[in-house]
Amino acid sequence: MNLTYFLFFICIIVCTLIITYWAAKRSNTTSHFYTAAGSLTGIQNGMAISGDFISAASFLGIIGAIALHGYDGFLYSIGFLVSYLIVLFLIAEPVYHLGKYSLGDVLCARFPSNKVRGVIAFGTFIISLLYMVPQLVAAGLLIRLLLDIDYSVSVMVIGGLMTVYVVFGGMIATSWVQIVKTIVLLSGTFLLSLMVFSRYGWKISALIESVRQGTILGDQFFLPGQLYESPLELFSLQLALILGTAGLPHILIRFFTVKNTVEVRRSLISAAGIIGIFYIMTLLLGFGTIALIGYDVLISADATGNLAAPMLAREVGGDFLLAFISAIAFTTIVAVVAGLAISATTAFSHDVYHHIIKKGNSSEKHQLLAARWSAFGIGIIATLFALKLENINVTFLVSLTFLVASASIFPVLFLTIYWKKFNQMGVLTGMVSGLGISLLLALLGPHIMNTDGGWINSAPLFPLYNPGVIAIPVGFLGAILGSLLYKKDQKSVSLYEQFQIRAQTGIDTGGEKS
Amino acid sequence: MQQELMKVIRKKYKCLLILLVILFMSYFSVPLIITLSTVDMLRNLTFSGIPFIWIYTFLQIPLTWILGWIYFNYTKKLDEKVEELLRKGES
Repeated sequence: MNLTYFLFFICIIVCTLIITYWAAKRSNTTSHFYTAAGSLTGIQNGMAISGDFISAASFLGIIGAIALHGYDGFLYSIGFLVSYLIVLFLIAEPVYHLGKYSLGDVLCARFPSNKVRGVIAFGTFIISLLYMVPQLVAAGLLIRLLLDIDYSVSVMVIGGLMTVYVVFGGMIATSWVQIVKTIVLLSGTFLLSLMVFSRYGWKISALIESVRQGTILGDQFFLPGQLYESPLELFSLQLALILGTAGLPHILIRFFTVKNTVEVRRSLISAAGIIGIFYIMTLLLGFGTIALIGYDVLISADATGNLAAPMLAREVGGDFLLAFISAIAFTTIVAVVAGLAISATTAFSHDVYHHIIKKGNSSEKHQLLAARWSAFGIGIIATLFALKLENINVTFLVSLTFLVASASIFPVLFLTIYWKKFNQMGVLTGMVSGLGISLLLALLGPHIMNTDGGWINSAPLFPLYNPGVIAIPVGFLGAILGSLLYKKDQKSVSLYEQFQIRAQTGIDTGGEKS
Repeated sequence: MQQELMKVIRKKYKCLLILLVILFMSYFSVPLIITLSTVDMLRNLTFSGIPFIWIYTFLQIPLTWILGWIYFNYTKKLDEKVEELLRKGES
């Protein structure tokens, strides 16, 4: 085991545990535990959102994808960034005005019902778990590679850390771990970008020429079609990416951590700024990897290209920089899984335990206790899944998360906020159809049904790797048909104007601002 | 006051509609351009040696920031109108 790597990892673990200890002393109410009592500023929350969003798939995956596939890898990152405008324009403010701790609160503001709360909690739980498992798997593989520690031990360490952050520090610890991660990540990628650029005398033309020599694609590297040959596949992926973020519960519940609407908007503007700058740097790093490392060396180390950033760090800065960049990748993963864990925890303890099981009558002390136990249970469940799924395709699970979010939670949230005739049945049918079709098409698609090493050794029954183009309309259609076929719930229709005012301004019918 | 608030909300929706149309047109024009162009067109259309499609795709980043900034500033004005309506309602 390399001592430098080990020291960097220990340093990160100690720093985050200090944050958790500090946060634990403040997380003594449910409001503090679930939402940091709305104490963050917009910029702090924007940094935390960036920390929550930029996962291992972004940091390690995008750099590798650009290095291997050129333009198509870059296109992936654009979808992630632009999706923040959909959240800002359509979803963020209503979510802030209508909810308190969870997405269940948001939907129940219009359709107060245990069924609605239950189905949204279930969706939140599934999405969080789908996203948490690949992050833990990626973390396990990364630690095994760098510290030569067994995969199971690595996953248990990171799963244990995630559980400790959330159980003891709640949203306060999670937010500050994410803020620190964003600072470290941006600093590290900026430093690496400068070192790469300096190698080429700060000339972009010299870098591009070197890229041409490093890639086996030649001029094709700069053209589309290396990763997505079919236009339908490309459009489908773009659609899931742009709409998916607006359905990710761990991002949406972050809006409850600020004190007013202006700060909600500022959170998203800051997040879009940070994420945009980050993706510009990943572009440079992707180019740098292929120019300095070369295609053959990169692909022989790891066929997915996920080791591009660590390999580039070693090339330009030796073992020390490699240790630093690897520690950043580690921090990236723990910050994301902590955010996911708190989202799943809130869905279970606030929606299921407090509202459905206890019918909203549990004491503050019991709610807090339930939240901590839920976080503990979710930590164990996610860790067990990650231990069993060592060989899962990480990219597939990440894209599945975006697909499920864009086909289930996004349509239901959007129609709740903007469609007068939407009703409770629409929520249920929309969630079930969106979730069901996403999982079904993924199961029947070439990721799972594949004669070349798929889980099911057979030709795929559904041809697309990215089924968003079918799944998202089906999610919307399910929600719309459910509402149109079941018209008994007319109360929410007649009260829609009042609901709209509350959703968009925070003012209730009594004229008070929530 | 409810009708006055609805007027403000409708103004917000109009602004949103325009911004969303610009956003979707620019974002989905990328796969559209890729689909409709031939390889030679994509290769030969360059600015200072950089392929046009790269520049166009890269411009989505500043466009995202600009659209976000327009919305941020526009809604600030709407917030002021809502506050004004609230003050009128109270007095």
